[in-house]
Amino acid sequence: MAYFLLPLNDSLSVTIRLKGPGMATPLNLSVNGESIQLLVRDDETLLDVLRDRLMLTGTKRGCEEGQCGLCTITLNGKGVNSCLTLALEAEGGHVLTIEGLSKENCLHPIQKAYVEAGAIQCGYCTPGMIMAIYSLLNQTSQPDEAEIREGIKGVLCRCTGYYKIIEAAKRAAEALKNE
Amino acid sequence: MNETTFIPAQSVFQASRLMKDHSASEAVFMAGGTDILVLQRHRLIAPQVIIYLKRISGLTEIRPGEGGGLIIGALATLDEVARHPSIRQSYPMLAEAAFAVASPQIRHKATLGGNICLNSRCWFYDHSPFWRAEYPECRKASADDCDAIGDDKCYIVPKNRKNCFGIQSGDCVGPLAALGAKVRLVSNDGERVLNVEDFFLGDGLKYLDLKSDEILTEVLLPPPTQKGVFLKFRPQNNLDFASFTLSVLPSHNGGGSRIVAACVASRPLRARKAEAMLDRGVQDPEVVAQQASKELKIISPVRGSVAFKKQVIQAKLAEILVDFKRNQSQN
Repeated sequence: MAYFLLPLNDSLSVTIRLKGPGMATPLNLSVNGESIQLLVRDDETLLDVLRDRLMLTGTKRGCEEGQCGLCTITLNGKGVNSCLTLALEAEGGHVLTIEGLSKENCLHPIQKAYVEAGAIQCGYCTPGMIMAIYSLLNQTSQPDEAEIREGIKGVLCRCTGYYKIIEAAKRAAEALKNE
Repeated sequence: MNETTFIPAQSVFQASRLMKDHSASEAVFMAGGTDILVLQRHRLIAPQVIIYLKRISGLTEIRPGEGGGLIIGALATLDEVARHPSIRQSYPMLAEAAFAVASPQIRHKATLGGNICLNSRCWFYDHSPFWRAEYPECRKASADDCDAIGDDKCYIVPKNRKNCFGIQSGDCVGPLAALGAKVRLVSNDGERVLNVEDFFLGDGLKYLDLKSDEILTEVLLPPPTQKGVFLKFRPQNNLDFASFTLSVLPSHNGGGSRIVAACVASRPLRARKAEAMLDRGVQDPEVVAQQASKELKIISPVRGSVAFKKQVIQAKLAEILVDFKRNQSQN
């Protein structure tokens, strides 16, 4: 229950409001394979819940308008902007964030490809970018370059490192094919 | 910020009833939420109740309609529309338009119905409160928010004009209008079926012929005839809305050609005289394109001035018509 008392992004008064009867709605969802139940405000986004309640801060907060894509996660296997998803929309859904990608200290092939290709500069877009590539590879297992470019279109990288990112996506597709 | 209540509706009728219980400024329908939540973040709307439509079952279906047509549930996501095999085969224009919308993340959430009912946009409206603080609220911003001190100002139109120049911005609207699609609107009082073209009223403030408690449930496509061409023009190949979209159907047995320019006014525009020229068999693409560009009543200077848009539409349309001619002679 300690989660509920953490101050949220907009004001401390929210914490107090949460305690009031009828102000919060129960939410059941699975995050990175773990089923989670918690009380959320109706106007809270999935991003708020992931970062501020569940402390999964790998998912970054950017423009909050769906333009930068840093908050990309997958909901039921499809990449979505978590800033444009209300937490209650995800009721009963399966959420995968960057934290859930690696298994027991073993990087996911996309993450490995990212390191090998040197696709990380400042790293702020990396979680969103990797989840966008994950979502892309879910739908198209062997994308060509145009498809990769379309797949990562929704995530901005301001280090302008797109070439290495595209290379990483290609390597990841290759690695996943051989698996 | 206001307290918002989130109500997932289980049926269209429940949603319609819930909406009737609230005034229009209090409640909004939300499907994908990629438009509504941005407007809310920009403080352009402050809904107390969000009526969530996506849990209504049966509205995501894409199924064959009467006489060889296709019925697309309004809650089908743009990604589903873009990937659906029979849409890609029979109505490639629509699949391309759905694919042209924003990013994969947004297409996974946004719905076809939402793309049609997308709020009309304008550079002086669709901004954060911080940006808008520099300017007095425009006509549209103050009309949406009852508390705002309306300045009844528009930064685009001359002073004596009273309408709003917010532009219809959904990419799928152009192809739907060109294909002659219809929309089914359902409320507790009954249902209506309207042509997509007539669904838009042509004013940025009240841009849809949709009562507040009505819900767009289905898009009805007629049997496929010709494969047309869809073009979305934007300043950069990024997530942006279009400068304009062009949807062109070649004439079929001396009739039925369509030239629709969308995202340039508060409703999709048809170049009827140019269509008639195509149907009559006028061969010179330049002449037809010039006529189309001349007769289109483009109103909005957003994402390119009116003169620029007219020029580019003329050039692009001529290119498309030349392609049609080449294909015809090959066949």
